[in-house]
Amino acid sequence: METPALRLQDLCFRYSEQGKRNILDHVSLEIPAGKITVLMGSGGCGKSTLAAVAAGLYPENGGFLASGTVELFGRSVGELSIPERARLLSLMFQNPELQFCMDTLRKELRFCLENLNVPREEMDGRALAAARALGLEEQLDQKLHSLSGGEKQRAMLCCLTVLESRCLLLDETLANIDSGAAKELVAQMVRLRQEGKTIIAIDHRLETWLEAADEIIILGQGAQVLARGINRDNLAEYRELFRQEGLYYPEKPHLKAAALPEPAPAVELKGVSIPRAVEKDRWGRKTVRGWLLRDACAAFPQGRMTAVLGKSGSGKTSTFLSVLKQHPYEGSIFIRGRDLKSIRERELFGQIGMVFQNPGNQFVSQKAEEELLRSLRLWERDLSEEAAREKALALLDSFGLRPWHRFSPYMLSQGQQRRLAVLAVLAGRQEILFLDEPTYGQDRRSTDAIMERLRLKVETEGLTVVFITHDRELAAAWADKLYRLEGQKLLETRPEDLFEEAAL
Amino acid sequence: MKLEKLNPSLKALTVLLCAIELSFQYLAGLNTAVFLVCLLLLIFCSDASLKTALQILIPAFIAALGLFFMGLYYARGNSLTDAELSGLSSLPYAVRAALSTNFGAALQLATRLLAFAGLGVLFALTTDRELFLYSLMRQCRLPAGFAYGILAAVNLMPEMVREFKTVRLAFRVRGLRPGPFSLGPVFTMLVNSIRWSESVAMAMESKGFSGEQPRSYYLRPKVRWYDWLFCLGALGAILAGMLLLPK
Amino acid sequence: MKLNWKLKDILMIAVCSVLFGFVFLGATYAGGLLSGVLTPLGLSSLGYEPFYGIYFMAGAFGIYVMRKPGTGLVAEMLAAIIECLLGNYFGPIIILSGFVQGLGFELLFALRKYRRFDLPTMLIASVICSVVTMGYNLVISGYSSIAVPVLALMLAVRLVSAMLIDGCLVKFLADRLARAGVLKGYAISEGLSQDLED
Repeated sequence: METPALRLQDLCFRYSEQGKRNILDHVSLEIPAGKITVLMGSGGCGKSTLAAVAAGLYPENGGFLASGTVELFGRSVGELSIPERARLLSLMFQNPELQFCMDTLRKELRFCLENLNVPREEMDGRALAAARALGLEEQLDQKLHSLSGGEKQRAMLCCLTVLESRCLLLDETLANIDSGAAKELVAQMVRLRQEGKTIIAIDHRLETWLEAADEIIILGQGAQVLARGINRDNLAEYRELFRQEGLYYPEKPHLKAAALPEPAPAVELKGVSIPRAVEKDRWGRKTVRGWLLRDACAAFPQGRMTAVLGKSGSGKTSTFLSVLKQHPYEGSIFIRGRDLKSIRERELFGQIGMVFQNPGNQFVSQKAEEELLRSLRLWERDLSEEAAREKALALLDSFGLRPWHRFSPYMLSQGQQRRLAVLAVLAGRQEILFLDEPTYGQDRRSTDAIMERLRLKVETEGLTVVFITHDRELAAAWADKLYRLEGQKLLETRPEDLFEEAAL
Repeated sequence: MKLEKLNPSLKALTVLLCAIELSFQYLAGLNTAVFLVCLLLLIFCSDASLKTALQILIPAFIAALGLFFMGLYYARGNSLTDAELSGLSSLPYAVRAALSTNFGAALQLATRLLAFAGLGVLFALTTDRELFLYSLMRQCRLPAGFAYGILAAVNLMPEMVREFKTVRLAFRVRGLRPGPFSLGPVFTMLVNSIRWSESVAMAMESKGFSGEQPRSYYLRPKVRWYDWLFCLGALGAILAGMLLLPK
Repeated sequence: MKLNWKLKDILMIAVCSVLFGFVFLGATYAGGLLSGVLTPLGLSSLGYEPFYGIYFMAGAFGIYVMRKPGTGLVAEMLAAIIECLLGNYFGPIIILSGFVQGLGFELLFALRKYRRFDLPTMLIASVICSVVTMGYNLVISGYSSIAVPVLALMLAVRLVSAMLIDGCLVKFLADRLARAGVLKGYAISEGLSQDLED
C-alpha cells in the first residue's frame, strides 16, 4: 500500500501540561496521498488544533503533546527541519489578513523561496511562473493589504505552490470569502490534485467541496474519527450524523416563508449614494474615490429579519456604517421615519446596536457578566445594582452562557464570544440590531443558536434584525426579506431566486 | 554616486558615530555645517524629495527652537534660574546679562539637535526598509527571525490602523466614549496584536521559515571601498572641523 | 548572550511595539503642543517629559511578560529599529537610545537575578531607567550645559511619567492580558491558576 500523506497515531494533545481536557484525545488517522480529503467537525472539536499539530506548528508554538506520533509521507514530523516540513505539508489559514510577512506578493514569494534556500538566480522566474498560473501577475506588486479576501487567499495559495509542498492543508480557508472566490479556489485544488498533490481541507461547509472531494471524514469531540469513507454517492446515509454533530448537511435549503404583510420600515434608505472613500486634499476639498452605492433604495421592516447579501468588498459593511453615521453618504436615511441627520450619535446608538465581525473587538471588561452589567448601567440607569445583576445572569442564561459568567470574555469559544457580544449590545434595549457576518468563524450549530435566539426576540419583543452575509443558505433560512447588493444598488430578492442563479 | 547606493548598515554606523563624535564638542558652527551638508547631500546626491525631508524636519525645528530658549534662559552657570532663585528676576540688567552669556550655549544646544536630525533624515530618506534589514542580517549578524519579524510587524500596520478604528467604533456603539488615550480599546488591540502575532508566526513557519536553517538571500548588500570612504570621510571631516573651527 | 527567542515571541514584541508606537503617537503630538506652549518660558523640553515613559514601554512589557535575561533590552531595541524604519527624524540614533533605555530598564532585574517581578521592582526599574537615560541625554543631547535645577525638574517629571506608564500601566495591562488567558505560554502566566466555573 502506498505511504499515506498524513498518519497520526494515538495523538493526545492539550494546551497545558497540567490541563485536564485533551483537545486531541487519542486520535489515530491516516489520510491517503494524491486525494482531496475533507475533514468536518463542529466548532471546538479540535480540528484546527489537529491541523497545527500535523504541520508541526504545535507543540512547537504552544501546548503539550502527551502522547502519539505524527508522520508526513512516512517521516516523523519531529525529525524534519522546518523547510523540509514545508516541502511536505504547508498550511493555509482562515484569516486571509494574517498570512503574510511582506507587503507585496512578489516579496512574499521571494521570502518563501529564500526559506527553501533556492538560488537567487532562480527566484524571479519561479515567482513569476507561480503568479501566472494563478492569474495573479497584475497583483504581484500591489500592496497585499489592498487585495480582496479572495485574492489574498489566492496569493497565499500561490506561495504554497511556489514551495512545492506535496500536501496542502486548508484550515477553513473558504470561510471568509464569497462563494465565487471559493469555487475558484476549489477548482485550483482539483488542478493540483491532477498534478499529484494531496489536499486536506478542514471545513464546516460541504457544498463547495462536495463535487471535488474524494473522501469526507467526520470528526467528533477530541477530533476522534466518527465516520469516514463518505463521498457524494453515499452522503445520504450520514444525514443523521450530520444533524447530530450540528454540521451543515448540503441539501436544498429550507426557505423561510415570507412574513406578510410587511410592517413599516425601521430603517429606510432613499436615493442613497455611498462613496468607497472620500479623500481630503490639503485645502480640505473632498474628492470621492469610487461609489459603492449609487442612488439605492431599501426598506428594512420593523420586527423582521432582513439579510443583505453581496460579494466581499461590494460595500455591505460601509452601508451599515453609513446608517450608524460613521461613513459619508448622500441622499436620505430614515430611522423609524426620522431623518438620520437630525439624530445625535448617542441617541442613535441607543436605538441601533451593531455586532462586528470579530466579537472580541467589542468587549469592554474582564468578565462575561460584567459585559452585560456595563451595558445595563449605561442604558438603564434606574435599575438597582442587585436587579441589574439578576437581569445580567438571566440574559446570560437565555443565551446559554450562565456557566461562564465569571470567565474573561476572551476565554470563551468563538461561538460563545459572538453570543456574548450580541447580548452585550442588546442589553441596552436597542430595538434595531445590525450583524456583520454572523457566520464568521462559526459552525452551523453556533450560528443557528444565535439566529434562533434572535428570532425569538424578533417575534416576542419586536426586535428588528438586519444581517450581512455571503452565506446564501443562512440568508434564505432566516431572513423575512432579502437584499442583494449588486451593481451599486440594493435589489430585493426572493429566496428561491438566490439558488436559481447559483445553478447558472 | 547616490546615497541610496551606500550600504545601509555602514551608513547607519556612520550616522551613529558622527552623532557620538558631535556629542564631544560644543561648536554651534560645526553643528550647523553638518546640518547643511546633510541637506546638500540630500538635494544633490539622492533621489529623496526635499519636501518630505522638510516635512520630517519641521518637528525637529520646533524642538530645536525650544531647546534654544531653554539654553537661553537656563544655561548652567550664569543662568536665569540662579538669578530667579536669588530673587533678582525683576532686575532687567541681570536678565540681559544672563541672556547674552547664554546665547552661545543656547545656539550650541539647538544646532546639535539639528545636526542629529540632519543625519537621521539623511539616513531615513535614502535607505530602503528591506535592504536595511537584509544588510543588518548580513553585516551585523542580526538573526533572520528578528529581521523578518520586524518586517512582518511593520507590514501589519495598515491592518492595525483599520482594526483600531473598528474597535473604537465598537466601543462607541456600546455607548462608551473612549478618549484618545482610553485603555479599553488599547487593551482590545493588545489582545488582537498578540493573537495576530501567533497567526503570522505560524503562517511564516508554515512557509518553511526558520531562524536557523541556511537560507538564500534575494538581496545581498555588500560593503565596498566607498562605504568605508564615506564613513571615514564623514568622521574625519567632523574631526577636522573640531580642530580647525574657532572656538 | 544566547538569543533563544521563538519567532512568535519576536512577533509578539514587534507587533506590540508598533501598536504602542502608533497608539501613543498622539501623546507625542500632545508633547509637541505642550512643549510649544512652554517654549517662550524656556521650558520646551519639559513638554516632552510627561510622555517620556512611552519610550520604555516595549522594554518594560518585554521583560515583564517573558522574564528572561535580555528580554527587556532586546524588546526595546526591536522597538527602536521599528521606529527607525517608520521614519523617525533621528534615524539610527534612535537605536542607540533604545539600547540605553533597554539596558536601563533591565538593570534591576539582572541584579535581582530575574526572580522578582512585583510592582515595587517595576517602579524602581522605571526610576533607574529614567536616571540612566537622563545621563545619556547629558552627554548626547548636550543637556550638561543646562542649569541643574531645570535638569532636576525634568528628571522629576520623567520619573513620574516612567513610574506611571512603565511601572503601573504596563504591569496593569500585562496582568490583565495574562488573566484573560491571552499570554498563555509566557512566563507571566506561569502559576496563574484559573478556577472560574460555578
